[in-house]
Amino acid sequence: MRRLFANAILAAAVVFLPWWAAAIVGILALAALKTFYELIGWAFLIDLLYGQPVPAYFSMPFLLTVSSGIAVVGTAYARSQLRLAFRF
Amino acid sequence: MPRRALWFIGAVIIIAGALWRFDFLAAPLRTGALTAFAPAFRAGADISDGVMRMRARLRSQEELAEENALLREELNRATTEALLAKRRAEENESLKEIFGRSGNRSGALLLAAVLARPNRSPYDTFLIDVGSESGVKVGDRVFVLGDIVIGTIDVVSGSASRVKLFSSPGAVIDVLFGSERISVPARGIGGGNFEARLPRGVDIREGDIVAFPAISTDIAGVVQKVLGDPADSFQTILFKSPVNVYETEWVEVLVGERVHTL
Repeated sequence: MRRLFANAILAAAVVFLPWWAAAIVGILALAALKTFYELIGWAFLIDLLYGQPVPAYFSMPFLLTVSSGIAVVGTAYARSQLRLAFRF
Repeated sequence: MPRRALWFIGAVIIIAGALWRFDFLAAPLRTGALTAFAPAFRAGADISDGVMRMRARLRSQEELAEENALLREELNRATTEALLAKRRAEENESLKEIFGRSGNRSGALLLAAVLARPNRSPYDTFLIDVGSESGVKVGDRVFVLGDIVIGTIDVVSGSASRVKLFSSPGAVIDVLFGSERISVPARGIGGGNFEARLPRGVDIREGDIVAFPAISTDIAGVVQKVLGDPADSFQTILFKSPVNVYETEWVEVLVGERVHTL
């Protein structure tokens, strides 16, 4: 249910709100939900709709997609490490 | 992490990498996304208009009367300036005709509503509500107020298009400075802002008009700041489009423009 709610909010943010609002919702969802990989899909959609190659980042047109992928993987790894740490 | 999630992440990264490498694969996806979401953007723009109208109704009469008076004053001033500018433009055109060159652009200006402004994304692009059905093509120039060119069309679907602003970070355009029309490349830094470098001896002041290299009077921006370091033989010019792209509601697309090639 929470996952569905987070996806609905992100869908609305992509269409109606500034990108930083979608980013904040995405970060909160990453923190609250287990492996919120849907964030990568939403970032990919933003890149399809608005994306341009960014010269500062190797002229990569899917910058948000890659960034969200790194965020999802990083968050999942951090969670697993924290779980391990709390075991000891 | 569930295996399903890892597969999903891996698939998206491979797809994004392939689309980056082979841009012709991404083009139909961009067009498709634009077509699919254009109705949602239109609905969002309508909702936003409705909210603004409701807010206007809730404001006190006194507040509205005050704002009305200020706006009338500003309008009178702007009308006078516009009349003077029009007169000068007419003189300019008649002088050009004497020399056998008309500054008029080929093509027609098509009015378009902005569906999503640049603040929707970190990429300095925005979406408008006209597409290939109205004759819009990739490369068509986009204007505000008829004379201020702000970007070009870079993705077109049936009923919507995406505009890439000249001020997109990293974009480079050639512009002309001052009455001597010195041509230099200017780099976009986002949000209608540009940066250019000129030798220190060139006299550039705040408020100078920056134009595009053409016989017509297409305005690129107005100089905001001139930065110079005594140790540097160049000065940095910061100029900005006179239009606030974050508040623009209407633009004009120049369709059917004839592009002369050598």
